[in-house]
Amino acid sequence: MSTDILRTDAVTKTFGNLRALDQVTMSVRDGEILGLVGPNGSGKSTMINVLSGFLRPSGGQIHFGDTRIDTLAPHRVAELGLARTYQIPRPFSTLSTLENVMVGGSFGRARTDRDPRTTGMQWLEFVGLGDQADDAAESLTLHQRKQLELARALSCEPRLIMLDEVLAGLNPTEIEGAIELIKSIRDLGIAVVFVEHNMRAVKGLCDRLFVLQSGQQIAEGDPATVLSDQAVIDAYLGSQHA
Amino acid sequence: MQQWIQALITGLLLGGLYATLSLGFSLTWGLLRTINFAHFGFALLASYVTYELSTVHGFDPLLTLVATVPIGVALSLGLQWFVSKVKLDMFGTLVATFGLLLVLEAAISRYWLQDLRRIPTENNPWLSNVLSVGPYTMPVVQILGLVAAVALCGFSWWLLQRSRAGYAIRASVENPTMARAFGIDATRLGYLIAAISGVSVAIAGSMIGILYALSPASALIWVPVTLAVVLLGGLANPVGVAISATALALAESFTRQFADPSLAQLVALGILVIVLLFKPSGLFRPTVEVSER
Amino acid sequence: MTATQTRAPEAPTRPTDNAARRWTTPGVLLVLVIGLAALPTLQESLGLDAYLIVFGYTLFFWVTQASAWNLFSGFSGYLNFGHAIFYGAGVYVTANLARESDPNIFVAILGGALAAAVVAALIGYVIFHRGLAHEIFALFTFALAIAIGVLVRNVDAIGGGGVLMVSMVTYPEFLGSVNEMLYYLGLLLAVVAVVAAALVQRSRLGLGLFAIRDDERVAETMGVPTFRYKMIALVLAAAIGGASGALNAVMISFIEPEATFGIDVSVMVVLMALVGGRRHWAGPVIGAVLMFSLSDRLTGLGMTELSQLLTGLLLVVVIVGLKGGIHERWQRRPRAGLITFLGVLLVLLVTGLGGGFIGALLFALLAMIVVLVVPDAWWARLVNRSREGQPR
Repeated sequence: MSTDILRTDAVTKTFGNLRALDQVTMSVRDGEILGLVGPNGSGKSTMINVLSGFLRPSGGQIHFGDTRIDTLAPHRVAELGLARTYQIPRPFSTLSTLENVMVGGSFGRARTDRDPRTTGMQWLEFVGLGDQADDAAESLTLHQRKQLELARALSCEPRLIMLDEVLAGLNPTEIEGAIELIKSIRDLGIAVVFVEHNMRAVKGLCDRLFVLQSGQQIAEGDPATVLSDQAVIDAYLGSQHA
Repeated sequence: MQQWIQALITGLLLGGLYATLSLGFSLTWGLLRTINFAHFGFALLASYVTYELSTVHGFDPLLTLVATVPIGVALSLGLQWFVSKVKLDMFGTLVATFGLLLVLEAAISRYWLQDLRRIPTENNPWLSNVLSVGPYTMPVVQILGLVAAVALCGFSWWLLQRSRAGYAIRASVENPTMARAFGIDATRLGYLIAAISGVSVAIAGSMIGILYALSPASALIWVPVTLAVVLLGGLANPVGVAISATALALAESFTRQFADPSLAQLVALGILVIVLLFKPSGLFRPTVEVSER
Repeated sequence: MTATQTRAPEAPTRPTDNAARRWTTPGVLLVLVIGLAALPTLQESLGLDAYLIVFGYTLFFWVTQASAWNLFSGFSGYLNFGHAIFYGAGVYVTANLARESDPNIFVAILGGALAAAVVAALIGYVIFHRGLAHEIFALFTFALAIAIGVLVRNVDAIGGGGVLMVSMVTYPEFLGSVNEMLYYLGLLLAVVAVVAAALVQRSRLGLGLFAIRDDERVAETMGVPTFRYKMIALVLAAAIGGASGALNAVMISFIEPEATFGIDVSVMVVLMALVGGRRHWAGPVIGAVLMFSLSDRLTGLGMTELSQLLTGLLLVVVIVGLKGGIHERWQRRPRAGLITFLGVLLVLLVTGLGGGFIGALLFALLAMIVVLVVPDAWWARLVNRSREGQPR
């Protein structure tokens, strides 16, 4: 189970003079939860955008399985089995909750003989949105929108799912539920890249951590070791706990 | 050689008109998020007011600016008020202002009828008032128009890039929430931009009234070239507008001189297509780049 | 790891709509189409005005064009302000075929569809290959329509130096007179357009287009091939528009660049779809019937400018106050809408107060709209009062 599902080699992304990602080499193993952490503005979101094909890297390569994906259109990346959620939920606002999830089931990897309506319903039940299937996505609460983000990404039947701050803005009870949900996602055999500021959740969930600061990787390894690393503590103390 | 230089002069002068006409469209699109099709209706109305005042009431055509500029400003401000009141998104402004254009056109053809109108020569001294330098000729009114274009684009550039108000405007487009938190009054700045747009569209309209024959449908002739100028020049970039307007007008002028004159109207759009194919972001940067979420 | 392993646990499936309900709408429409197809043969024996055949053809024309427009622009959110380009491509195919000899109408229609499809593919490639924004698409198509008008006026090989004539076309004898042929083929194209729109709406293509309309970048990262889908839908819309344009050349017979590529067709289809509703195939149909009946009556009264003024005002009113169009309101109270429409239509036809069939149709539609746009709060109060507290 320790083969890499995703690998980046010296990925760099520049915006004008700003180096948002600087020679980042990261790998995600099959079936693991990798915590991608770092202070605000360290390049986590840029990383997700580059991995999902939203942004083209300025340098370096990305492989998903054996396929090089940094030159592919985002929908091809999705077809290979890479899905993501958005920090600020972006539902298809004029579609119903179920239709939102049906999009994933109708395209790419998830496109099979099975009715996307049926599989979509299953994913909604899975995240706990079964009762809202026919509601307009626009009418959902923030918590429900976050759940929909998850269901929508899962409906693409990914091999790797990237979760961009799915816990932000939720209350403690909702966070408990979300953490259980993420565990059951891993139990389905899906690898997870988990971007999060909530350190307790990170410690409780992640198999490994990868730490970015100002676009550079500063630490990588099991959570206990990484979080006691002096460079990591400095990075966080410098920005958050000051 | 002489033909080349004359075509160059003609092109430069035409560029002034294109820039004046396009500036307001570019500013409202880039800064107020309003794609204003009614812009062409405003210009048409200014043209007809210039025609009416000079032909029927005997005013000097240039003097009619005293009337058309306030009309242009009033229409622009009114539209800005309406758009902000009903909270239209960009798609909505496109459709609504198009409706407004149709209304203006219908009203104009009701009042001035469908046939071609042109200020008679005896009422239009500017048509024959030509400055001659050696073998070359340049209509004085177009020189004035070029001066106005430079002044308007220059002022807009200064306002946006060098003044405090411009800083506030850019901030409020880039990040409305943050700008509001810093106490920037986006509403008043919006009216300022709308007013500049109104002044320039009125001047352009009056120039058109002096130089060309008018019909209610003629408003649309200006759409392709304006679009090309605006997209090539970068949204709300006054310098980009000035340069791309001049470049397109030159291309048109040379086409008219040395190729099929009837195809000159297509030159601007042809250039736009080529640029869109190879460099879709245009040739100049927009003043404000609204980042993707 | 296989796909099945990543599935969520089985959940109870929900009951699907029963077959009877699913076939109601197609059934009603089929009966309507058969009735319409029989109209020319029955027209004299029913004592109906011969103008109805011409009116019918033009109505079908607008239903076709508005449905075609909506299939791409309404579903995807990319507003095409130059639909006349595709329509005109069809018109000029027939016009150019007619220079040599009387063309076969079916050849002309297929040629028109093909020409428009090619033009659409070129335009789509220019705008979509680097993902330009939808407002640029709108302005570009609008400007291009104007420019193509200028081009056709000046290039004799296409425009024939200003005016081309389509005096006659060949077609199978059983289609009757020219007007009857137009009526039948117009109906056929309208059915094709509406069915195509309905099928797209229910297909994966439709779902992909809806996703593009709501959030194109999210759609792309969920696996929707956005570029390909936009191209397919645009080309399909253009082909239908071009086919209908090729047929319409016979109707107008006197082909001029400005009238063909001018804003009339481009704006009318946008307005029809906006008024009727862009999210459903029925929207543009409702919009086309309403707007065409209205403009037919106004033009009949010699009020062309008023018609343009109303068109403009309606655009503003609809985009400000009726964003979902009539169809969206219809979904809220379909029964009341239908009863009002049929009731008023019947009363006006029987009493003759509507001034003929077209007038009756127009007034029935207007009455239905009034019922549909009553705000929900007022509606609830009205219904409660009339039913004395019965649950709705």
